Amino acid sequence: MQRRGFMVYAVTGLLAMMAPASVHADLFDTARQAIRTDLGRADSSGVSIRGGASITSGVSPTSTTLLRGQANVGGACGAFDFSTSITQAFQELPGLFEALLGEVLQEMPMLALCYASPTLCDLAKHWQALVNAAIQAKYAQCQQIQMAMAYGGLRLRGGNTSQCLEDEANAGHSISEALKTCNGGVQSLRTPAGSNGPQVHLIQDTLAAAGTSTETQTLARSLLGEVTLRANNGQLGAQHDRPQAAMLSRYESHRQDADAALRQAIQELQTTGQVSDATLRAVSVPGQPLPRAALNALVSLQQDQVRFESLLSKLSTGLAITQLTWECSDLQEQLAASTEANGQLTDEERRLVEKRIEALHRDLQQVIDKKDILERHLQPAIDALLHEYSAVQETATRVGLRAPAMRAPQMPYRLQAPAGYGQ
Amino acid sequence: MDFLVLSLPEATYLYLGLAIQALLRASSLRHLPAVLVLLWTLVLLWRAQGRPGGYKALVGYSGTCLVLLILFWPEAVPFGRLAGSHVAPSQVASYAATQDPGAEVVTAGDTNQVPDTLRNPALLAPGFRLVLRAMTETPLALARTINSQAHRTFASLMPMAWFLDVQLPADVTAAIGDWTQACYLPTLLEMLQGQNGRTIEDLLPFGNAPLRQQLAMHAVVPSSQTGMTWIRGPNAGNLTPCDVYLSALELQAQSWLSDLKSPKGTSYLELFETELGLAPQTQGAILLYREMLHAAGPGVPAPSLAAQYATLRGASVVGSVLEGAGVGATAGGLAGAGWGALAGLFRGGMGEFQRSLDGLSWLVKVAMVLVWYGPYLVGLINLVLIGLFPFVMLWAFIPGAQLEPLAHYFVAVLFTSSVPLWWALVDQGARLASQQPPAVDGTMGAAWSVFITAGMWNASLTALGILLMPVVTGLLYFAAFRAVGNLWRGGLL
Repeated sequence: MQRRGFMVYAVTGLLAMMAPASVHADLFDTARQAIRTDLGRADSSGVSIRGGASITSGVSPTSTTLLRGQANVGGACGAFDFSTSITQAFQELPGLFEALLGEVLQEMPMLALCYASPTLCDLAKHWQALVNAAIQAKYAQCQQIQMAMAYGGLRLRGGNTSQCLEDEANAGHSISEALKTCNGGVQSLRTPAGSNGPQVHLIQDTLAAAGTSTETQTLARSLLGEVTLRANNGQLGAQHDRPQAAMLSRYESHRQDADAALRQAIQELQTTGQVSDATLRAVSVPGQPLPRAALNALVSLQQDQVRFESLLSKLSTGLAITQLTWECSDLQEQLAASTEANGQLTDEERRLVEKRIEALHRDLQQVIDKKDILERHLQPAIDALLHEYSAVQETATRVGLRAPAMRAPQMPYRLQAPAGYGQ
Repeated sequence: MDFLVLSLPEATYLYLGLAIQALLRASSLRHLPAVLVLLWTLVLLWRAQGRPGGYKALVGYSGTCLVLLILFWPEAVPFGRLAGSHVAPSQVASYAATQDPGAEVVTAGDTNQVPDTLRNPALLAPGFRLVLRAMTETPLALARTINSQAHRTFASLMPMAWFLDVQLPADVTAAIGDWTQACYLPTLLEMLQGQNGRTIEDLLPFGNAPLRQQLAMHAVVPSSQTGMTWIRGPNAGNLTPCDVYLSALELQAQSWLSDLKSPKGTSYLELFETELGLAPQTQGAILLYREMLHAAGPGVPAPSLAAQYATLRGASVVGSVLEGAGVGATAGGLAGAGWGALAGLFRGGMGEFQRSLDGLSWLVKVAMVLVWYGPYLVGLINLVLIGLFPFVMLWAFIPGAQLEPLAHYFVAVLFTSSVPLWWALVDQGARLASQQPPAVDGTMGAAWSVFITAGMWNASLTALGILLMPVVTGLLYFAAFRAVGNLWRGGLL
């Protein structure tokens, strides 16, 4: 093995001495320095290296926000230190020659057979071609399956690899090392805040990076769930948690709160004759305070328990739907703004967040549609039922009040009328 | 019985008048006639001096006064009380009560309306007794002669008032409302749309009317409209044919009339049949129809009466139906026109029934008020006339006009004692006028027609007669008295 290595070095040295080294070295060095200088300092994303002439485009080296939407791997691959990379390539040359020699030796039996018997050689070649075709067909099928299965992961991995290459370039590593590192196992992920960590809570971290309130993050977690990205044993994993019927639960919670607040307001109005501002706020929705007259009307209708409960339920439902819509709209806006303003997110991560926003909108619409269905179909039936019940009550009351007595008419002279005779 | 008047209030007030008169005559007022007679005697004595025949007038005045005092004020004459007789509350009676076998209250004493202070027998002047008996018994005798039912005058008025006021029980009322909405109105609409109901009688649900036959083709669950289940049938799901449902309601209405009792304990069903001539089926049908009209909406009146009034109001009835049909057609095409015609029918033709019913009720109430309170009014006048008779007597001590005040007074007593005559005449006249041919076709409509017509005649003539008869008899009495008085004066002159 050492002898083979010595032979490789000797042949390489001989060839190097035969080449016009000064001319090539000067051109390459000039180009290398230009690339390194400009890319290493001017733009870490490397977007401008593809033009060549625009390497010194004058883009501010500290400005990362202007070009954050155009990050890609291509730029980063050219942003590596070329001298480091070529040094490493020379270090790998002995291994390459060794592999070449191995290949030549592997083909030696076939060469001998062809010299000895051309006919057998043709047969062997034909047979070898058939075997190769069959094996290639199996490989193709396998690759198709692998590509299909790896597509989703590659989309997510792609962004991460891009960020990894960017980090490697910024760290001054060679392209081979960077490719080895980034195409190998995933050891850490970049968080929306810009740091690296073993896992990323996409929704929560994005909102937190934008500086939103804890209430908003809690609301997002309860309504949107979470997308968790993990770097585990070199693998990049994504876990999607989406709460089931969270929107309906939220609506029901709002409805119960509105119902309780309305009852408390009615009680307060009935007891004190006034409603405090705090109580009035509790039964109001953003942008639409509940009119005091509505509370007065409810107090007046309290004696009619059937109608009172029906109207109170309708009012609670309306308040809950309005409040839920308002919350979802607010959350949607905050999350969209947080995503847009964050340069650390990959395209796939943005897509995942956008999907969650769409799901939020869809869930809200479904809840509203369900309530609409209730209002259009169930509520009229209930109203009709209550109406009929009230009508029956009224009929019973009217009939009852008209019910006659069996008492005989009174006469002034016991059984006789003033005329003197009885009937 | 010493005195017989027609009614119990008259008997009570008559005795009270006699008792008050006896009190006044026995009081210190009894000395006043002697003083008046003495004074007028002195005046006549002074006038007689120096005039030829002047003492005859003095003797005549004194003799007349003595006779009058003995006859009408015995307490003013020594030993005059011996000429009088006593009358007790039990001796003043109501003629009508005496003729009623089941009567518990017959005399003034039985009424418990005589104050305890006046319960002791009152002394009655012999002349007043004779005149008063003549005054009370003469009209009564005439009344009995004129009207064999003088002891039961206006006997149909009170049952009619009771019949008009009868309210069916709550369950029947609710069931009638349900039947009307679930059976009658839909069937009626079918009849109208199918051109099968040409007259109002055809659209009645009673008897063998076409509508009744149409009802048999429908079946409903009783009380499905009102939500209150009162009637349960034997069929599965309580499905009941509409005509069976109606028959059940008719029976329930009759049963209710049988349960209701008059003050004397007679069932209404029997009483109305006896006094008003209404068969039990007709009574039930009329009450049922009245409730149907209430349940169907404002003003659904009885068809039979529409026939009665056809000549008078036929145009307005047809006009109402056409108007309703026009409104319905505008709202909903042909079907709407059907409902509109139905509404017009209720507002128009059937509305006549409601109006006639209201009119009859009002007339009956007016007649009842007059019949009920008439005896009280006349009795009170008698009380005043008889009780204050001693003051009339004082006028009789004025020389030259001794008999005229008494004559006027007794004509007035005769007038107020003529109540039996008035009642008998009015009752007879109303009974004759209200007699209607019997309902030969036997339908509810005809029976209802007879009832309404007879009731209206009876009530209206009673009310008018009671108001007019005293005026007419009063004119006769006082005009005759004036004529006789003029003749008397002319003879004397």
